[in-house]
Amino acid sequence: MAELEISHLGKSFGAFEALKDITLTIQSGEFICLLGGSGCGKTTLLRLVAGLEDHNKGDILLGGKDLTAIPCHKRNIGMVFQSLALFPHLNVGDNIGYGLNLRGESKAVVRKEVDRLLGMIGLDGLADRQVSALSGGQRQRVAIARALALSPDIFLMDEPFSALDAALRDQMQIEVKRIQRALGVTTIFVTHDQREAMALADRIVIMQDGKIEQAGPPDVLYAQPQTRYVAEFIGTNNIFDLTFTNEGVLFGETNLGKAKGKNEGVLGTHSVAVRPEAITLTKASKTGLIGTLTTQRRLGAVIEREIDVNGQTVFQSAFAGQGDGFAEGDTVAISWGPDAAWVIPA
Amino acid sequence: MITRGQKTLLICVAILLVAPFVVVFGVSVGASKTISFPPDALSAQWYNTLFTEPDWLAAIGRSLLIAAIAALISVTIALAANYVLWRRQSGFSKLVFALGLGPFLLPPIILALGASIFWAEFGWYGRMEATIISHGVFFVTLPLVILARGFAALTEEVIEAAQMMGATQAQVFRTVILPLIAPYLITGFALVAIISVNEYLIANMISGFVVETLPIKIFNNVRYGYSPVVASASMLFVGITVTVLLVLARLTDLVSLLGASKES
Amino acid sequence: MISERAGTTAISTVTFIVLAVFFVVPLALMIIVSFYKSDPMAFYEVAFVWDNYAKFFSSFYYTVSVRSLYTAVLGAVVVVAITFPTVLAISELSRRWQLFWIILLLSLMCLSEVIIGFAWLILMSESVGLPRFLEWIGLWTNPRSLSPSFGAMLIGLVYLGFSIVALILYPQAARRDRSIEEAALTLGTPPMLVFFKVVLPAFRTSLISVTLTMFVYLLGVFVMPTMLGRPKDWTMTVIISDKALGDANLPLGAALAVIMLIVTALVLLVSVLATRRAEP
Repeated sequence: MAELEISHLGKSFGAFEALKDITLTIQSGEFICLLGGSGCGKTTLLRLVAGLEDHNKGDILLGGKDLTAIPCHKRNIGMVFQSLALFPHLNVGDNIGYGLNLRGESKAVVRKEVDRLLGMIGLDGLADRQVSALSGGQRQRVAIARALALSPDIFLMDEPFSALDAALRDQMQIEVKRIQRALGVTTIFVTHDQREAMALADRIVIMQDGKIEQAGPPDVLYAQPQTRYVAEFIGTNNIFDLTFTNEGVLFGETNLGKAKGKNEGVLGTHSVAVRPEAITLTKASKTGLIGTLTTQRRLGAVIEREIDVNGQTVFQSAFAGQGDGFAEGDTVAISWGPDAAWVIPA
Repeated sequence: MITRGQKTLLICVAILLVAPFVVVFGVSVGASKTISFPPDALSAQWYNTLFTEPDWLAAIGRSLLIAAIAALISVTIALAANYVLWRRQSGFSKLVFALGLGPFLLPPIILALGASIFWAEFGWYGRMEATIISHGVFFVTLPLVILARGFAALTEEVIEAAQMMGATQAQVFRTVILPLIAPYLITGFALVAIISVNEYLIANMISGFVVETLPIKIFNNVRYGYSPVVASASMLFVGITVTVLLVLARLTDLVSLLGASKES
Repeated sequence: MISERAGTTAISTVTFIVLAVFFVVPLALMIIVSFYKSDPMAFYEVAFVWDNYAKFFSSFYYTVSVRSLYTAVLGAVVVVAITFPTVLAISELSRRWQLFWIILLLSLMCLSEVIIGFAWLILMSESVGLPRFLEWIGLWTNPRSLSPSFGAMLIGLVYLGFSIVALILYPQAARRDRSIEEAALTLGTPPMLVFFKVVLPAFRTSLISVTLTMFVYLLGVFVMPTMLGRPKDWTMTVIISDKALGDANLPLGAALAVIMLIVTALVLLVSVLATRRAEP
């Protein structure tokens, strides 16, 4: 296992710049999720690491060794494809043992290793099954076992669960996380599903337009987004343009009072993110931010509300039973605690 | 991603595929009375002969007439078989469909011989009508398969929506189904017409000695000493075939009509 | 509803009758005529004799049959071996160029055997085309016509089959999951081996079935052997046509065609069985 260093990596397809100056270091054994919308470059980055495409600029180093000149088939990587790409002409055992057979391992060794891997993914005894006779979840597991059979230095997954239904996807996420922990293999997982990224990653790398927006642990990304894009992309967020003055913080015409806590001393106009769950609603009073409750959705454990404040929509959520008793059309006052407001740096 | 080896392969294959016709074209525009390539001097005389000599003109006319009516027959049979199969998945309609696939699976010589015996018994041996009907029936497979794709793309909901608005069976067919499968009908018609224009063996065995179509005339010419007119007649064929296909490609999405998915 | 049912049944019945009369009845007639006696004055004389089939087992027809089978098998294998890699390469092109190839292939598929045969005849003739080109670049000092010959005929057959095989294989090649090839790479397969390790096996069933289709097709080709082959290269199709039209011996031609029909049916049966077994 070794550290993967990506520095100033660039890739163009004709005139289209798919990746622009990507720099990222991945620790040995780390689970990284590349997260972003379609066309953000996440799959391209994965394919460059795999050696399925050649990069135009920059370096990829694995344990200090330059990967540029090493073709895909010599990189010792394991990859799970979006389509899974199981070999249709081989049975389960031959799929998993494909790489070992290619290396010329003896039949007995391959068989033993295949059985061990089948045990790891919970499919004991299915070595002779045809791939087409497996369920979706079982195929997924076979693809994972095949990718891990050669003890790869890096384990790559390209949206492997996008075709599964929600319940099976949750189950596979838990499974992958367990296997990755047990093996301690450096893992890069591409997804467009932020819930999946949150559930799996040690560190999430949010990409947009061929660039890294922010990289960090899930809770840090959630609480301290560094850019407006990240603040809007992860979860639901309220983003207000607030003006900080010595007299107080201004929301349009309304003075919200002096900045306290970590925002004390901030001056000027900033984009400020406030999570819906940090917002408190009260019956309308004379002071503070006043708005009209426009929609209210009761979703079992939580209630989600939208409040119109001078034409701007404010999202608020609360656990059912806490702060009930509002009806659509009510005039309400909005407030949040001093540390709930996060000033977006960029 | 395409490799350098694959590019080389494609270029070589393309050259081999096109080369014969480059030579034929060269001969057809040459001034020389014998077959020669590359041409010493250019001349349109062989095309002139082709379009002025009554013999050649008659052959062209016969070929086009046979092709047009045969294609109409083919597409009508294919439409009927597909429509019935689509309306009702009965065993009988499946049998009719399967029967339509048959001619494609058999070597043409068997069809040709069978047809010539049949028309001899029937008393139409040597008549153009016989060639037309046999072409129409034997070439049904292609429009049958192409139309099947068209019907497969029809959703039941569209039909139900039309029925709910009060359309009768015939109205549904005319106002909904027909417009939706039109591209497939056109493609099927065009392909049968092209194949019929080009077909030699069946036409020759049914009525070749009386009804001389363009391929039969060319074949006889080649066999018993030939002049460059044959080259210009061949180029006329190439021209017709490629033009029809290019028009078809404009009107319909040929690549996906052939069953390949759309992808960049 | 009853009227609709009656309507579709009526359409079905008419379609069935048309196909039956003009496709099935001729084949049946051909089988019947194959038992008739030949009559040089008329087409045939009504009878029930096995003479025509007995003639097939003479050495002449035996040789022609073996030669026909050999030619068709060789042609089919060569066509598929050349076409498959080409189709894979086409499927990697941009959509624009793929359309170019589709139109080229469709044109070639539709073009008359007569035209294609004629074009090759010219290309391989002494005065123009290939021999003269070889002389011009100095590879052949005393060029002679390359046709008629077995090689010329085989080239003609391969050329004819190419567009058909390509159009049959193209949809599957275009739709194939390319990540299977990439998966083989990530698992350590050298690029040169990927074709043999995963692409070829994945297409095995289609390749077998298209080879059999091609075999049947080439068995029935008439123009190429007559135009580009020598009389001793002539296949069964030419002989059948010769007997039926040239010698006016319809019963013998019919008997030979029936035997060809049986061979074709057997090959198609094998093809269906092979494809069915491959699909679990």
